[in-house]
Amino acid sequence: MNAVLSIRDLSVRFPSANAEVEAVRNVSIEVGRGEITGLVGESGSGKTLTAMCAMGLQPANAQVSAKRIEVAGHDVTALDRMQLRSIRGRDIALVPQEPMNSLNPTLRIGKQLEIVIRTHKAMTRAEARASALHSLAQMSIDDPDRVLRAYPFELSGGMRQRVLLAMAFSCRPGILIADEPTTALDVTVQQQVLNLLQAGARANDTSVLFITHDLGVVWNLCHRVYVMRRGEIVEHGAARTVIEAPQHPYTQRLLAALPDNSPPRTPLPVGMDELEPGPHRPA
Amino acid sequence: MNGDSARRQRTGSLPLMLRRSPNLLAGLLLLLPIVACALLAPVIAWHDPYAVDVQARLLAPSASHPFGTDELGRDLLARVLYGARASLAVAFGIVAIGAAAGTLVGTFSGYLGGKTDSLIMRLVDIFMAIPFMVIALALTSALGPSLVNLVIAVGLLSVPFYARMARGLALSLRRQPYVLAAWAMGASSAFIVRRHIIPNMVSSMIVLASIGMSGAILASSALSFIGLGAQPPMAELGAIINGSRSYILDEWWYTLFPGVVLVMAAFGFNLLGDGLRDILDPAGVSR
Repeated sequence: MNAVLSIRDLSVRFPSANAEVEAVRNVSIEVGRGEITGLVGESGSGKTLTAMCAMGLQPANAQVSAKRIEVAGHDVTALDRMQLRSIRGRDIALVPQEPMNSLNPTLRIGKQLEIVIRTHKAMTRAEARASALHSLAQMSIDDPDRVLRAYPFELSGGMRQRVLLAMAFSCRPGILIADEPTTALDVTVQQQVLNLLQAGARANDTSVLFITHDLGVVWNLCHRVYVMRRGEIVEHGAARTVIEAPQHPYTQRLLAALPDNSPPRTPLPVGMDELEPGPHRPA
Repeated sequence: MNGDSARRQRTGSLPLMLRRSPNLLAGLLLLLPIVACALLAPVIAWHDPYAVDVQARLLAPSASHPFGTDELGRDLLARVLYGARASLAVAFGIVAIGAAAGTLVGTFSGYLGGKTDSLIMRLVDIFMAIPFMVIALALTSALGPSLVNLVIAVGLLSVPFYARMARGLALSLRRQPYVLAAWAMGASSAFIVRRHIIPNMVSSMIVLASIGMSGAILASSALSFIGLGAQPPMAELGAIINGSRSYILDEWWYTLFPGVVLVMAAFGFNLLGDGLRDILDPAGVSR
């Protein structure tokens, strides 16, 4: 498989005075080209930490060991700080969990997009601006001109998440890490954002590592899925297989924990205003 | 969790802000006349603050000399106006040095963390442990008494005050999701500090600087009062009050007017700082 993201035997330890904590143990993950791969688990299971290691953004006191961490052909473990900076945003991008706080409140949206674009591409300001406009339009933002001039506080949560998606896709990265991108949004907006993520990934030839605790979303969105628990991968495989016939008891329990144990939800038609029927998890 | 409405309110119009913060209103009411008079001193004062007229020494307030005259017959109104001008300029210089250097030192310390941070903060602690006036005295007498030296000395001594605040802000700001997002997009440390951390601490630092202004006015006047700042015959509030010492019992106007202006200015900046804090970081703004 030609993988865009390939992590082999990743372990992360946090040394402390009395007890060493091993937050991630022998985790191996592969995300193939054009694939959307889910990484599922409860909070504290090490999902985000695993993803941060792929960007070289682990906390300063973490001890990381891995046989391989490869992003779009770059060996992350062998890169120095400058090289790491140059792949972040260009080869590997992040859609953060909290759209409300993930944009700098003192800079206009246009400026923030421009900064990301000009960090990685030799462009004049005007070219970067045009590119930013294009990125926003790609995320079906109706009047991108107004959004470019807006400050983050003028935008709703869903709008901010679209801006962050536009930012993440702006340099057409090989892989995008989406860290629970819809958890902070309300249910009606969630589906729109997921659709945009899917469309953006297809349009920019970007693979996605989708971190979530929502198996319903995995069912709808992901090709393959890894189930993580207490720092270890307990099960992985094609998303639908894993959800329909979970092998590991933990996955079975995760599925059983969906409210009223109903089957995963069907996609919400775009533009539908009422709340989704069936189970939905509070954000 | 909706920060939007709160954020919008804070960028409301001036009348709205004044209604929400009586402190701001009171502070502005005290400061506006003083600042206006200080700026317009050459226009308002019809006497030269340095013109000696021994015939007219120690005159009580009258139509020609509303604040009276001093022991050399100089017009006190003119001297107080020019004195306020000097005191405000000195205080502004002190705060500018302290806030700028303090922001840089504190940001550096808080952003880097670890051993560097500990070292810088222990130095700051040492400076804060020694009574301010004592080092100010030592520094100004070592540098030699002059207003410029006073600005430098007191400015440097106020650095720890701002550095502590900036460090705390940098510590919390560097954990903001937008800083992580900037890291993930390939931003450099220098860039993150310049574009993400410092701009977001400006509002808090302005509040601190405004409160610092009152301390700076009092400190500079105090040092001038004991002869380590403005030198005679210069008109400066502390120096004028120093000159009035011998006359405090019989010529009440000599001490009263410069004293009242000094108190108004110090009090006004304190209230302004409190008012700005009410408006810039109202408690309960969800972040």
